[in-house]
Amino acid sequence: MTRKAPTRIAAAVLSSLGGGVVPRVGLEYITVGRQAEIHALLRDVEQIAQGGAAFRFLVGQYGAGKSFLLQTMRNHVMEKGFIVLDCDLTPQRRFCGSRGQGAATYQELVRNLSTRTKPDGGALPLLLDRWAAAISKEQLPATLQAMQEQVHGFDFSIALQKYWQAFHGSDDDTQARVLRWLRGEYTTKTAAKQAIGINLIVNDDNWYDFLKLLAGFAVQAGYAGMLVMVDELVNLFRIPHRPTRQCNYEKLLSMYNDALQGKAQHIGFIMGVTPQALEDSDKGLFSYDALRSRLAEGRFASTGVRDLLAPVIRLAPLSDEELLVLCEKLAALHAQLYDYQNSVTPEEIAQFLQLEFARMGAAQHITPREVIRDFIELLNLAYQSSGTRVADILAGGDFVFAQTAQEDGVEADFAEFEV
Amino acid sequence: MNDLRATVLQNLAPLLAWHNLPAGAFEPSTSHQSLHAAGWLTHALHSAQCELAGTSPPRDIHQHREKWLTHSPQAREFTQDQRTHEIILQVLQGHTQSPTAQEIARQLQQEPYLTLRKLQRQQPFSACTLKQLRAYLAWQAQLQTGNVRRVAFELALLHITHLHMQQDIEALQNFLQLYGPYDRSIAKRLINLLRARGVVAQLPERVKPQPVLPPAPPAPEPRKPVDIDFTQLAGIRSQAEEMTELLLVDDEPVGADANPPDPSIELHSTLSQSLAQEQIRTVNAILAGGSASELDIDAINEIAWQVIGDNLIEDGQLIQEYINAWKEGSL
Repeated sequence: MTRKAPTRIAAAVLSSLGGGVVPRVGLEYITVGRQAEIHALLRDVEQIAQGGAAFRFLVGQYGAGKSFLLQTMRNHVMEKGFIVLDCDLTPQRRFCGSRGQGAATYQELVRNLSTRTKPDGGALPLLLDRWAAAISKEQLPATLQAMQEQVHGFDFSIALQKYWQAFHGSDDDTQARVLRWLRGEYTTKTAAKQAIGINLIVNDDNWYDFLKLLAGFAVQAGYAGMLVMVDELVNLFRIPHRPTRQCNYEKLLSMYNDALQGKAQHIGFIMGVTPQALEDSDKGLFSYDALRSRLAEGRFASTGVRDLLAPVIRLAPLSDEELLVLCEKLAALHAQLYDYQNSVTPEEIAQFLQLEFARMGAAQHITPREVIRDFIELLNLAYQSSGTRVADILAGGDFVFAQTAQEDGVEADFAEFEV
Repeated sequence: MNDLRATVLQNLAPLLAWHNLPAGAFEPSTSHQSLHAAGWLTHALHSAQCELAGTSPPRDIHQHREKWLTHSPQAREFTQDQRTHEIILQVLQGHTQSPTAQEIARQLQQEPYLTLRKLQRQQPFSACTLKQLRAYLAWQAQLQTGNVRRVAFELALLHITHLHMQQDIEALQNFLQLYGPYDRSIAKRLINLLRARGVVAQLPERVKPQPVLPPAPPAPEPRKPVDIDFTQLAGIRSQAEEMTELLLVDDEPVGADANPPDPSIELHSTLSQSLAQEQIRTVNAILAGGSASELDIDAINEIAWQVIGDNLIEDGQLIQEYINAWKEGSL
């Protein structure tokens, strides 16, 4: 039986996809293909739940479905009892930098900390409250001792102890101060010392240690583990200054080593990256030899045979049939949302796809994002002009296709180029 | 700091032009590190020019440089290149086991600005070092990348400075031979330096460098025309449904009570799908105005929302208000 999406989810999905962005909810209802990739990631999830760690790079062009897959996994693992931290890298948020860019990434990750019950982020207070409520006074020392073995674990456990005392003593002020410290919002050690008596703050050097501590803490609070999702890794590739770029890659390498050498527990990383940002030997991840030797495909991988147990998962393009079924699902959602009888036939969708991919440069530039945007626009047009079928609009020739990322970026010098 | 920035920026425009760098390459507002590098570059240039002109380098820049080095948070970034530094030191000190000039060249190519800084701090070079550095410079001169060649030239000037080789006409002529064909501005500077020493040199014939381009990526295979195999659709649809079922988790939420109380109200009759035990408990608690914890309230999923909507109030906004009021304890 086909699962029917709730109406508000259908609305969110269609409005997000129509705008070219990946919705935060409802992706399960339109997932088509990607079975192998999803199963590979689900295996990682099981591994993390059992106390292991995982590190994956999702590699695909802009619009190929990296963010889609990340969001799908995010929603799924939250339902499975994980906490999820996610963020997009930007010029202000990197793995390390001289102006606190690493700490900014940590702050963003913690701000977006989500659980099943708080899927929109901001779940750290809930996590702490839940832990504090579940731990008795007798259990507290043993619980904290387990954390003290890790790097910065002693300070972390002091903060938790203060939170526990404040929680049971209804001291909202202290709770807020500890929360602020855990979020990495104190910028000086002096301020942190004055606020909660801890002479340590989250900074560019130690934020990853705090992530590992958070993962262990989440498990103590009753969650299955922690998944960290970082998208737009291309921003590291775009760093113009080589030493800074290399420094970021070094940090990435240390996280990667930690995860795969078994030094980190109950934590998984999924990173979204474009092929160029990965493979460019001058500025990409592969410019850092240690990363290249770890991430480059082996000698035996070839077209058609993919190693989905390798740290790099390359998103295979959706087949024509998969795109058609995806469009079918979108048409059904559209009909459900606007309450009309869905009459779009597979033949009409096939005609749409034929037109879509007959465009010049389609082989290089048309991704699922463009296909989806165009199709939703088509559905909107058909719905607004009642009685008009999708095939009629396509045959009319007035339909304008979505602009691809490449087309958007045409340089001014070539915009009016004439032969 | 503002004075420092102003000083650097003041020197930056001609420097950028001289190095063929785009304006904004060292944009201080976006890249502190670049400003830092620019500072070194400026200093290197000034020092070399002043030394050659027989005057002292600007004192304020020198002081600022030291201050910058001491307090700069970027100092850490330079430590990563410790190995390069060690290699350079070994070679410059004429170590017998030193790596080849090509190896140094490779390292220097990666960190040209850093290298400038390090070389500035070296003691006068030995004859062995001079030989190796010359080999390096000869190798660098053949490179087609303008920036690297210019940095190599800076190295050459520093090299002269450190060896106090103002009279080393032969070295300047060698440099002219090496760099002149590739770069007119370098050639002209060298000719001027030679002229100052009483030697007339000819501008060498220009050789236009051929840019070294990365190998072109293989052309993507042309996409086949869309050809839908309608017989596959049923299989794909069924796989998609399976994936939807797999991804939608109906298990109990984490921390749910292993033995939840039986629901006092039969809810299943209104639903097409079964509720998880905790959801049932939550809904019951709300319907009874009861005592579900905040976590339980948060655990309400789509199905539970529908149930509450059916049983209590019809409008979603009102439900949210009801929940909020309940959480705040005003009900």
